Amino acid sequence: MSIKNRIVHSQMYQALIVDASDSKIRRNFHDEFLKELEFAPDVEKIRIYIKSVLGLFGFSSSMVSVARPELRWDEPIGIVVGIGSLFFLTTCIFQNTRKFDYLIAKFYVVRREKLRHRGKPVSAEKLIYFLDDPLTADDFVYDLNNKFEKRKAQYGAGFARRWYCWQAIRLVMRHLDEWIARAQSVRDLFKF
Amino acid sequence: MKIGLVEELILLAVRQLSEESTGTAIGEVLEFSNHDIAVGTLYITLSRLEKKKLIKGRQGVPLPERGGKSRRYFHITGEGRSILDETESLRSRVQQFEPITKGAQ
Repeated sequence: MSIKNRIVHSQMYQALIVDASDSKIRRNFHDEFLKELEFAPDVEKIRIYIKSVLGLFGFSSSMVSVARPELRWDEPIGIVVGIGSLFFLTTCIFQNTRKFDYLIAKFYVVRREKLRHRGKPVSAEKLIYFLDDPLTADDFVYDLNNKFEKRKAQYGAGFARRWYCWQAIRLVMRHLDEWIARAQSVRDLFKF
Repeated sequence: MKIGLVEELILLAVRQLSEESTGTAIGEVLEFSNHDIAVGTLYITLSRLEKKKLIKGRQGVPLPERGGKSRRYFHITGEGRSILDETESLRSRVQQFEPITKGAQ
């Protein structure tokens, strides 16, 4: 499969997975894809075996070229090792198996899924609980959550998430500011 | 004791709301008066005012709609009231000042 086909293949896969709104349908597509990988046609399997043997040859050649730097490129053994090393490099760069397509597709799907389900940033919330006064932290987080929902409805999840994180960063900055202002000397900064 | 503008505004809001002054309500009062401050700033200022003993906080009853967590209510202390009166009188004194114009002499 060429690189172009591979990209088309992965794009098709991600389009199928991502556009399926129902999680059950999405899982079915996923399973189908895995089955397709497991029961690949014989021709495909033979192709993979040949590629594996050639890959092994390339890999061993490159190892020999590293271990025996005194090999000359104009000698027959040197030429064989050289061709093997080049082959190894090209196969490393242009991986051409369906497994790799699946990995690419999975990467895109996972990334898209992450973008799709966007709630409040939990790490920012934890940071607030960690830094803020424990007496007011609950109220603070409750207010932030309410405002987050409003912003999400108004401007979208991405904006709301950035706003939420920015509130947590501002809190960190305020604490840093107070910490620095409280210190009389550099040594005081490290007294807790 | 000196207080900043945000502290003064929050103190005023607490006095205005009396017993119903929660963080959310104070934020709404400030929003209503076109002085929208960040949520973090509001709560940090409230903690600071509490440390200065200008306001006093108490935990309310746990609320089911907030997942069993309670609200914190604030009320102004005597010291807080006197500080506010002081700043208000200072403002009125500044407003009463009449500049001497050159022509009047």
